[in-house]
Amino acid sequence: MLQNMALPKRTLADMGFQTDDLRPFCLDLSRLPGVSGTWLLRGPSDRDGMVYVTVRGFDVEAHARRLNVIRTVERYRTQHRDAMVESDFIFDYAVLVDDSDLGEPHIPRGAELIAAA
Amino acid sequence: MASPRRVIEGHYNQARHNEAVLDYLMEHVIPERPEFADWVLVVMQYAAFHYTKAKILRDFDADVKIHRSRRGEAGEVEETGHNELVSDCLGEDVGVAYRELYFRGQEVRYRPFFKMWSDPAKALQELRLQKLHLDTIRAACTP
Repeated sequence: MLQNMALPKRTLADMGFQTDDLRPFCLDLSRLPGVSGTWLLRGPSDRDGMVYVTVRGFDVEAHARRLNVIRTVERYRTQHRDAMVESDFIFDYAVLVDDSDLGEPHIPRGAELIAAA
Repeated sequence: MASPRRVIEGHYNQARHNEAVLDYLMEHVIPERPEFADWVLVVMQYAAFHYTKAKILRDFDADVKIHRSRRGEAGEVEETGHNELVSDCLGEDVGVAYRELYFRGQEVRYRPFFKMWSDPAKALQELRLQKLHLDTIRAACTP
């Protein structure tokens, strides 16, 4: 069970959904099976954030792990949709294949590495 | 301007056309030329897009202009929104299936996946795995 799916109370009550609210979620994602890294790309304001997740391998098992990550992010997005809409927050994400045969996954330079396994 | 019904039919036609191409490629091309497996994934992604677009237009009265903007890598504004609409309107299973096809469709455009697919058997295995997602989407989106 992910520990950080919930947001800190002060965030929702005082400032709405902000980019930094995605940090604990990125840490949680990094603990999922197969995840080799999570990155956070900030927008020009505190009102948008793009999360990049890499999942190790490119086989049937890795496929199942990617789906698990996607499902987890979708649930997070659903759980916080109202807060994001109220805050006019734009959230997006990408789940990428991490496999040495494929070279480096495409992660923008400006993205901040949150956790690497 | 085309009527909404014609637009919806157009998306279904496009999806079926993509699937015909897909079947041909998987049956006749990939066994001999597995390096083209990346393009098969792109065709799958387009088929998924047209099925989901048609379903959302048909059932949710939404050429839903909720196109939200986000910053691209170079700071440009990109249109997005369809991914979110698929999850919000069509449920988690279709949303997850669509996202996986979308991400792989994006990745094969700039990463040398064909290295992984020099073996036709491996290429077909991966494509069949991904096609299960398209099956899920088709089943949920066709009348």
